[in-house]
Amino acid sequence: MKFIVSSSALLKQVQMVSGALNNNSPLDILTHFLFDIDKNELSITASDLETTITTRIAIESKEKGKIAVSARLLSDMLKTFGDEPLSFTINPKTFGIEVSTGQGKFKLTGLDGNDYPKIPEVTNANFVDMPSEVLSQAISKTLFATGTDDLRPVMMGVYCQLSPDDVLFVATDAHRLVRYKRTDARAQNNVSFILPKKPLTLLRNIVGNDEKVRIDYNDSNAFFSFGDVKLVCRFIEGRYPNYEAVIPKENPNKLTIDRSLFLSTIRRVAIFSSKTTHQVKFKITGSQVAISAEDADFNHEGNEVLSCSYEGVDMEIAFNSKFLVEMLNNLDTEEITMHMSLPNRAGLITPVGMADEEDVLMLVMPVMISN
Amino acid sequence: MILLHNNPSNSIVHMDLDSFFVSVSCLMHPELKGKPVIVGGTSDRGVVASCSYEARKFGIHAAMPTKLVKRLCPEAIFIRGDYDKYTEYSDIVSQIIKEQVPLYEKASIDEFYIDLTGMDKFFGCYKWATELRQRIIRETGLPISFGLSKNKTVSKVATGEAKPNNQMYVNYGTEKSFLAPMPVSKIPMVGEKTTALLRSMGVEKVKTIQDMPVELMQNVLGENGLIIWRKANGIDNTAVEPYNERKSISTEETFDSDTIDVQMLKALLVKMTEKLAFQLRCEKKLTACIAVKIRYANFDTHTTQVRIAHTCADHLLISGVKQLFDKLYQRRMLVRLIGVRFSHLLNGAHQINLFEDSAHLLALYQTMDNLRKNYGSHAIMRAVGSAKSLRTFNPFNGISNSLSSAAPDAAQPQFVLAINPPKHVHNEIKKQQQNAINIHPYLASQKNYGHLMLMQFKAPQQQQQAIIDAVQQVCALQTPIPIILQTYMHHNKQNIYLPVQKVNTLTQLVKSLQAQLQLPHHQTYVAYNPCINVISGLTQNVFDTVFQHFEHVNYNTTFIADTLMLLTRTSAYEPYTLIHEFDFNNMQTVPVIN
Repeated sequence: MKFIVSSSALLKQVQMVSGALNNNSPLDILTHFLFDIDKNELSITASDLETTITTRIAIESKEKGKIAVSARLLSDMLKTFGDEPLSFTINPKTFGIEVSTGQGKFKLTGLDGNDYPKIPEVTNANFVDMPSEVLSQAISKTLFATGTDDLRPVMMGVYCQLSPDDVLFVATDAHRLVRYKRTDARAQNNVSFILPKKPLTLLRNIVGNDEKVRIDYNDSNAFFSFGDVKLVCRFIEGRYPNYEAVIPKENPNKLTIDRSLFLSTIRRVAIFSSKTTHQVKFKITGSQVAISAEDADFNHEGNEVLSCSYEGVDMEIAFNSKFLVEMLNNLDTEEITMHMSLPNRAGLITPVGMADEEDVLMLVMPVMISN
Repeated sequence: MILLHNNPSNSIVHMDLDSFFVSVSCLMHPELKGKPVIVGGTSDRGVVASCSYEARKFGIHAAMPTKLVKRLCPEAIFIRGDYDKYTEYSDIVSQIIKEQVPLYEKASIDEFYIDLTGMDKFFGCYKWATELRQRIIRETGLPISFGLSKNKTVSKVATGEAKPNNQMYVNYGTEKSFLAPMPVSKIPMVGEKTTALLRSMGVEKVKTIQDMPVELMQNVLGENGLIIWRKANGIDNTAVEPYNERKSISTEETFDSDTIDVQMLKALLVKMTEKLAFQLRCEKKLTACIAVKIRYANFDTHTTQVRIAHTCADHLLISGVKQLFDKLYQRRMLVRLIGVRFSHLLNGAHQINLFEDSAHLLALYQTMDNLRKNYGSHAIMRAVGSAKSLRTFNPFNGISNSLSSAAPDAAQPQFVLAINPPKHVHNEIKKQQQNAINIHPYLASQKNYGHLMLMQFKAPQQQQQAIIDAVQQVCALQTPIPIILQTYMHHNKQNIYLPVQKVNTLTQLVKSLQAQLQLPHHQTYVAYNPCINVISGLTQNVFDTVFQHFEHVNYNTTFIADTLMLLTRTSAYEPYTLIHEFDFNNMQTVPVIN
């Protein structure tokens, strides 16, 4: 079996799919790429069994066959070339691979491509078409808020709720929550599933700008296809917590403030907070908010007063500044509004003046301060 | 910094109040002076916290078990410590030192390190320290000793040598020769175990350590070996630190007698955790590491710890502690001591959880903390933690005075003490139950026997005879009781029952039964307002339909109760069987007891 391919084109594809690999995989073959040669087309697959990604590239060949190639060796080698035609010669009996360039010859041993785990096929699936911009926005707006607690796997993913009216993405780690809604993408019927973090991170990195992403889904898997790329991922099983119930409805205290000013101030003050709790305190009086932090271990202290527009009663409330910074960073409007009720109830952050088809709600639980 | 402390002109004073607790107690009670006085736990398991020099003549020392003390010196006077007074006197001494000294460290309640480096120029450190000591003695009346040298270790050893009520100066350059003739146990941080280890190597005197190569000590004792070797050579660069951050908080309890009552152990752990969690919140701290310690009866001590997300919330800590205990308590062995420790402390407050912390829970915690702040840490606690610890064993035969001592894990039969009403009452109740079932067929599974229930409890099978005897004694003194029943009532829309009117005599009977039986509280239900249960376990809807019927039933009856039944069943799904019937004393007069 023989084929010829451009090194730079191959490197690009290999780097794209290598995100799906798990370097500590117990199955040796999963540290390999699957090369499936079909005449003038090579498809490259990488998988960790949960997430599988496949891409295609044009090659020159007359044969058909499969081989698994060590991911590390191949990428390391490809990185060293500029742009050169590489000719691969594969011995289907010994799985020996010989790569020859104009000057050199490199030999490595692959594994039998037929041993590669089967990639799930699309069966009894529904589908939804989504502009790539919607998908990448939804991922970047929600992904940061997912949890890391292995004991609560459902929170380690993004909850997607598709309906004929809108699509909804929710992420939470039990301390903060993001709900992102789009009305300009729709599904045929009501369906919801939890997508794990890894494929979403991959998608965010490889989805182009003006593409249509087709999402097929059945009971256990979602299949994303766009351009030459196909990505399959298994859903996280389990019931997502009832997030609607914990979003407080009555929030009489509203603080509206310039986002970037608020963000930079919190960042500055938080430098002086405890390095483990990152706690910052807001004291809101009239149309002023005093932001303060202290680290009692080192006697550090930071204080800054901002003016804002505020409706409601004076209050003191404390948050983990890391959460706030991440949230404010992920919004892009000029102003935001923070809705609050009590110092021990959630604070909601919404952007002011967003496009009609977009709706973002960010919720953060405060830190208990004794009165 | 380190260079500075290596400077030979360093002057560190170690001051130690002689037998501090005893001295304070003697100040309060001058009649104790000159007698062998012991402060410490007075129970059998107690240890000596402090003893007077008169007591030391008998070979008594701190941390000696009380039992041994009683054997060595039967005439020793035991007093319980008054820790508030001790703190007060310790503060007075601190105050005097603080006034006079640029830099001091309070190492414990009765120990101080004072850095006099540089004071030499003006006064002469020894003279100065002598005056300070005299002033403390004059103003507090407490004996105090000090040692002066170039570092903390040598000064501390010098204080020990100077005692009682004296002072000592170790000149620069003579530290090594000063330490050399002493036994190794005099070096601070060389405890019983290290002493034994060193002795097994043939090392008895500090001189030997001084002559040993440092690598040998390191091989034997690891990192500590280096420190001990340096201390033995009179080298100690640690600075006098005016303030020490607490690194952990912990609590532990040794039982009067060893126990395997897992339920009680867990309850105690909950109580300890609650106490510590409250301390955390008071200090505005969070913990990230919890540990549980168990010491078995054979002194095997096991500790396990786990890292957790930063928290100070009761429910998280309690469940964590319980899990650790379950992990740790694997051997079915008597337990002597349990303890809880929180470490990795840092400043901060509870991060509220979106799904687990309801507003009610947070409000509850805040209210509980406010109550504790105002009324003391025992003002409010979880019911499980308030269960009394087991201190009811008879020390002579090891048999418990109460019925609670049997292994808690064994499935215990349930006992009921009840009065059996006459047939006409039974019929009435059956009739009403049937009526209710006609209204709502769901009620067909009702199991109410129509007994007037007085007590319900769990106890081991082998105590059945003891129970019968105890009840017999009460009934022998009890005259028949007239019982008046009137109108159906309900409790929280869940139970429908027939209450007893004019309940006084009946309640007295219940109370005397309770006193006689001495049952553990957590497994006992006592009816202070006895009643006959008719229908129980109702839901709101069923209740609403059924109770309309009972509202209109007018029932009035009186009977004389002259027997008490003891019923039992081994599991909740079985019917009760009658074990014994007790007749009340039929003489119409109460026997007169002289």
